[in-house]
This record gives sequence, C-alpha cells and structure tokens, in this order.
Amino acid sequence: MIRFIIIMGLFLFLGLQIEAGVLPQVESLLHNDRLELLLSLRLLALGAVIAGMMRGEIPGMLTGLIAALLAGFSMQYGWLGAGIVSFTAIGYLAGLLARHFRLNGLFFRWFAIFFLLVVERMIFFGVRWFFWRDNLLSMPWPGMVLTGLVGTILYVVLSRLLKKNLYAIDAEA
Amino acid sequence: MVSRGIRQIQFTVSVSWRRRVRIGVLVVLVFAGLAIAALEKYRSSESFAFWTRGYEKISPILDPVRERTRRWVMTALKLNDLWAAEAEKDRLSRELAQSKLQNDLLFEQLGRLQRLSGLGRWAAPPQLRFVPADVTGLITSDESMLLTINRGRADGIGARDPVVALKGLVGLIRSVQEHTAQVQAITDPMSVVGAATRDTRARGALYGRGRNKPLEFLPENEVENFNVGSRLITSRFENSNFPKGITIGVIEKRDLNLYGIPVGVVRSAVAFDTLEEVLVIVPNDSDRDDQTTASLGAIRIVMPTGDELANETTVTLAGSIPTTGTLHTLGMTTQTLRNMQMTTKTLQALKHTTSTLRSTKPTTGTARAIKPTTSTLRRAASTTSTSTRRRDSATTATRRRSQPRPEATP
Repeated sequence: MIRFIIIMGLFLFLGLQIEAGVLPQVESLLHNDRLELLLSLRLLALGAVIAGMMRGEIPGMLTGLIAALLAGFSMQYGWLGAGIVSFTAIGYLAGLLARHFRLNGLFFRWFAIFFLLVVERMIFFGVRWFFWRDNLLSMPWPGMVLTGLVGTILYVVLSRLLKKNLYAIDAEA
Repeated sequence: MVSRGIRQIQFTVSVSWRRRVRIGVLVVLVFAGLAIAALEKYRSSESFAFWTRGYEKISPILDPVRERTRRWVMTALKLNDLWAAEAEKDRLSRELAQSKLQNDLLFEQLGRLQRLSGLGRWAAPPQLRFVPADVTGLITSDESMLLTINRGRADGIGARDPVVALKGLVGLIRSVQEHTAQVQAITDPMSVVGAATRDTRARGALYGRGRNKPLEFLPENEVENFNVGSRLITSRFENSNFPKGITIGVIEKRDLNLYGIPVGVVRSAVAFDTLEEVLVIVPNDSDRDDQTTASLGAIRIVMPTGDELANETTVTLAGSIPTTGTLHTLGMTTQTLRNMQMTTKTLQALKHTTSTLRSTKPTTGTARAIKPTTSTLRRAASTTSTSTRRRDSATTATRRRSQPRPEATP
C-alpha cells in the first residue's frame, strides 16, 4: 500500500507539472488547434482512474479528491467543486468497473479508461452547467484517446510492479 | 455448524458494511464538491480568496516548469524558423536557377529581336515587300554554299528573288518548295552580281569564289579606278536581279586575276557562317505576274543605317523596339511575352506602337521619290515577256567569267 501511495503521489506530481505547467504553455505559444486537441491529456483524472481500477473505490476516490484539489487550485477559478465531483465519481466508477469486470487485454483496459474519462468530462460539465450555466462541453477526443493509451500502459506496468490486480483483492474479500 | 453460520453472517455483514462505506464516502465527496461549486458560484469573493491562497501555494511548483517550457518552446520555434529559412533558401535557389535559365532564353530572344528589328528597318516601295525568314540549314560542298530558309512558295517566294540580311546582300533564291527555299549565296562560284563602288561609282561584276573565300570585283573598265576600302553596292541595271543600293561588301585590296586583269578582293558584309535571319525581297502578290525580280534594278530600297548596323551586336532592351511584323515573325504575342515573365516595363519597351510602324514605313513622299516611273515599269514589263533570257542571266554571267576578258557587265 505504501508503494502504491508513493507511486500515485509521484504520478500526480508529474501529471500536475505536465497538465497544468507544460501543456498550457505549449498550447498558448504554438497556437495550433489540432495540437491543442492532441495535447489535451487528462493525466490527473487518469490518476483517479488508475487508482480506482487497481485498488478499489476508496483509493480511487481519495486519489480523485487529491487530483481535483491540484487541478482546481492550479488551473482556473470555478473548477474546484466540479472537479471534486467528477474525479471522485470516476474513481468510484473505476473501482466498481474493475470489481465487476475482469479487464484482461489491452483493448478492454484502454476502452474502460477512455470510457471513464468521457464520463468524467460529462460529469464535470454537467456540474458546471448546473451552477454556472456555461456551455463548455467540449470533448478533446484525440487527447482522451492518448490519455487512454497512457493509462493502459501505466496499468500494465503498475500491475506487474505491484504484482496485484483489483480482482485479487476481490478474491480475498 | 453454529460457528460456521456465525462466520457466514459476519462475512455478509462485512461485505455490506464496506459497500456502504464506499457509497457513503462517494456521497460525502460528491456533496462536498457540489457545495464547493455552489460556494464558488454564490460566494465568489470569499471562495476566490480561498482559491487564491491555494493557487499561491501551488504556483511555486508550477512556475519554474512553465518558464522552462516557454524557453524550450521558443527555442523550438526558432529552430522551426531556421528550418523554414532553410526551405526558403532551397526554394529561392531553385527559382534563381530557373530564372537564370529563363534569362538566358530571354537574352537569346532579345538578340533575335534585335536582329529582326534591324531587318525591320529595311524599307521598300509599294511594289515590293520583305518576307522575313530563318536560316534553317546550310548545304555546302567544297566551293558552293546554299542556305535553306523556312519560307517557300506558300509565302509568295519565287525563284531568283533576292535575299538580304541586316548588313547587306546574301544572294538569290535558287529553288523553292512549298514551305522552304534554297538561297544561293553570293560567295557561290555560280554567282555574279552587278556592283558599283559607292564613292567613285566604278561599275563591274562581282564574282563568287567559293565558300570562305573573298569575292572578286572585276571592273567594267579594266583601267577604271577603284579605291581600296570602297564600299560596294548593287549597281543600277534594269535587268538586274537585285534592287540597287544594297551593300555587298568592302574592297580590301587590289589583286590580279589569273589573266592578269586587276581585280578587287572584296570582303562580304554578311557573315554567312553566323547568319540566322534573312529577308526575301518579293514583289507584292497582286503585282507578281507583272513585277518580277529581274526588273528590280530600277528600284531603290533603303537599308538600315550604319549606326544601326554598328549597334547590332549590342543587345539592349532600349535599343530594340521590334515592330508588330517582327513580333509576328517570331510567332510571339503579348501573352507569350508575359509567359516569359518579362516585366511590364520590358513589355512596354517591346510593345508595338503606331509611331514605330510609321517610322519604319517610308513616307508618301519617299515612296513617290523611289517609285519607278511609268516608263521604267513598261520596260520592266517588256523584260518580263522575255523571261527566259532574264532567268539565264546567272548562267550567262558564269560563262562570261570563263572568258579571258569580260566583255559585258551583269
């Protein structure tokens, strides 16, 4: 568990650096719409998804909470509350999904992560619409596909590193 | 049995309890998020202050990354600019090579225009017209030389029509096909031309001595004086094949022929080896039956001036303003010139104007002055009827050459 916390802490730190530090600078300097879609990685949300799929709902939600705090305080005012709702929700959904489905195979893992990222975006913009009535529902599909690929690779690496999948915990329970 | 049942109940309660905890945490977090979102919306001042404190805590972590990223991106953009500059340099190099090639072609065209514009300054009375032609071939033997031109019977050219170049006389049309013709140069041993010195008006016959050999001027009167350096022109004989006044060449020195008769060694004004464009002097189509070249001796035509000849080799845009006829001769239109990417200034320099045409045409007064009189035309008509005699004039002249002493002039 300690190793998992350290790894997720490192991942969230790097994800924050990339998502809130590097990518906005690159996008603002290059002024390329296609590149902007490609660079819209959702790494902080991916942390919640990975934690939920590998350790269950509670770690997923706590990781999502931390990721939402990091994203909310580093990017833009007004994203904190919606971020907490959407990130914790997909952390819970990731754990629930991994508990009910054996996500064997790269494609299924990629699809599950991609699906959860889409759900996160919808929840986020739903909350934003509920309170702020803004119409900002945009899906950076290339960025989310890439994020799904990154998450799949990370899932494979971490499951081998930690030698434990969620269904092993499930079997213990 | 009882203990097993108790364990099963404990396990069931444990699973249910964990699930409730998970759902409870989810609900708490969701409600917390919604509450924060509501605070952000409805208590914006307090929540913004709170958010600013959080932002200030995270900024020290992100600012170095942002700054470093900005520097890297700017460096990458500079590299991108360098690559773009390199690509631009390659493109410009290709364009430069293409432009050089086009410039060479244009220079060649301008040289041709220059030559043809000089030819365009020839002026003739209304009975005659000039047909520009390109020299497309050269048929040579040890002595003779025939030039092939790209104009023929379809252009109104007939046998024995005189041919001139910018600097002077070239020869006669020897044979004509539909679209080509052969020109017998005056250097051909079969060629004899009636000539006279411009200064002393000493008349005589000019014989061709073969390719790359000087011409030989045999005076009509063997004791008649002629000066070395005199310019020879075609003489005024009514039955001559050539209009009078056409420059033939310059007497370079005196000499004696095989029979001890003093002759002048003449250098032709035309460089036959580098000849590219010529003019064929033909009667107008309507007068073709009546006006033959054999009667051209009474007609004076105007050659380009010496200054124009001197400037012939200088290819400059300002010096060459070709006429419309010249451009048509070249098969060039304004659009063609535009396709050659010539500048508007160049096009304007080359553009035909009415004044240019008028300057190349003889004025009415000039035409009247050089117009043959009625009596001359009648004599020309009488000579037309005896065409056989006229057409054999060259043969006769050749026979005369073989005699020890010339008894007649061409």
